[in-house]
Amino acid sequence: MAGIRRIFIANRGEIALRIIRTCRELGIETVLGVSAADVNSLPARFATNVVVIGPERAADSYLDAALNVHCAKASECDALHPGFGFLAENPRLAELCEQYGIVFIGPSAQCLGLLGDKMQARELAASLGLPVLAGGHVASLETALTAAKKIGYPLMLKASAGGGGRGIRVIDDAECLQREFDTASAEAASSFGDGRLHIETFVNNARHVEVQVLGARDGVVTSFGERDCSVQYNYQKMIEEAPCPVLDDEHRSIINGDAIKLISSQDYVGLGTVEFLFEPGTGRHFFLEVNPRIQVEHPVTEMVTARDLVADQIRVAEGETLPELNQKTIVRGHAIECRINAQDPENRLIPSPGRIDTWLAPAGPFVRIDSHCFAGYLVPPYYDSMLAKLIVWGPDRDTALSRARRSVDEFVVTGTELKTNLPLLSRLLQHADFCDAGMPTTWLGSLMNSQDD
Amino acid sequence: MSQEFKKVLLPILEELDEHDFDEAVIESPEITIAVRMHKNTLPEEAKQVTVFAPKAGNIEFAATVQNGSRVAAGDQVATLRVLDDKIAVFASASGTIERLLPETGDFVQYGQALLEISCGD
Repeated sequence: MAGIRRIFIANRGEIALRIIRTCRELGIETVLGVSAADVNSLPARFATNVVVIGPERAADSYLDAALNVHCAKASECDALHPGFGFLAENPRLAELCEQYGIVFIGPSAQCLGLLGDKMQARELAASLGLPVLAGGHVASLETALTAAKKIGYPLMLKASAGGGGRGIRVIDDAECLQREFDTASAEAASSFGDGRLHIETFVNNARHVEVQVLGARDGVVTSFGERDCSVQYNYQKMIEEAPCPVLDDEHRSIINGDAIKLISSQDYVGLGTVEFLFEPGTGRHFFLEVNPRIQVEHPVTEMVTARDLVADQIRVAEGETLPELNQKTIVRGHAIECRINAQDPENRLIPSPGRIDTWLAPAGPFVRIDSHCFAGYLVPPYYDSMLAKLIVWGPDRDTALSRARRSVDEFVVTGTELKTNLPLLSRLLQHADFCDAGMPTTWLGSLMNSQDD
Repeated sequence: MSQEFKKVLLPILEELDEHDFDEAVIESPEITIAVRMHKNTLPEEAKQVTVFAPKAGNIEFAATVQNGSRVAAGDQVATLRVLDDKIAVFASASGTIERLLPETGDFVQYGQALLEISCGD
């Protein structure tokens, strides 16, 4: 396959800029498809060309697959990068790209269809011998109640077509299940266009451990090691790190091996993440889901492996086989990422967009900022609330941690209406539990709840 | 741009009689609102209106739409092609077509001016 010359970016914000930066380094032209809200954004300034595809509302712009493919074709792009969120896991986008002769930078429509469906992915994992949580598809409240009796409470009720932490409920007892079932199904139907639900055991004191994998056209699947993303609130990650600080070499090798086994079973060309829950007390791990795309937290892996994962995505999409991937990836040191969001830390982290008046980002040794923000930028209310990712590296976790603390404390973001989670991040990075790496996925949630009391 | 536009527009909308415009139109491409306001509240000043592309795509003008031809508000003046989808574009005012800006077959972006209508009889 010929080299890619011009990439259409069907995304916005920080990840659009991240992709553009790699393309500029590789000498690849970019065309950014923007909504009316993003015409004057930073990625629009750095893209080779910009096409205004539609109005502010994501459904009329960033979520319209045909519109994005049409604009990619009209601007003579030979490839399309979907970023994350929006249409990144949408099989129809991949299908349309193929139909119109555009290289989709991601796995095939068939892979997206299979792995994007949580139930199908779970069944595939189980069939390959990967441990999955007890549970399964529940077609009605009755089957849910029967199945729940078998697996026990508390349990998780999940939208089968959900993802990115959306469409998940923790169910404490049968009464709660009766109360929530119909609402959950209706919500799943309206949010994901698919009302199917499944239940899974709720694991207390578990860590969120995910493996970064890359599949090339010749069938070689490589792992770039794991990340720990246990600091999350409402299933939205806030601090991520690599490697996982509570994984010993034996379990690391088992979990990475399981991720490779799952991805190798498919004709998978592209970057992906296989998510697991890991129970440090028992050493057990459970498959959660596959994210068949680049993820927000990819930079921590980049920092410890010295790879440019966006460049890797482009290379495998071009059909390259990456001979170096046959060797084991060397992970050096420790990286921590903090997501800086326009969220009110005093008010259950509700989004609080607005104009940025002051923007003073930290710098210094081994500090990386991935952001589309600047002083004077108006954070539009239409999209997600992430302003920046602060990523630091250190030869060990303690050094990385003190560097993260120093950097968060240097970060100044102010605006009249705008609030950020920076004060919360500062507290979390100093918390004894975080310093000792003793934080399960429920940690931030319980901290936030106790703060409310 | 749109934020600024709304800041100007929303206070005006609030002062208008609700029968002057359809509230549902607020969510539509912004120029539709502006044109309706011109029509309903500023008849003397609305001498010329521009029809804008409701999204990006390739434009095909209706055969009857040419310089100097007459259109009535609500007439379909063009079709916007997005892959295999066809999106109808309507005249936002009655009058004479002054100018077609792109040519049939051209790729246009969201909000790009498609044609100008000189209002009135």
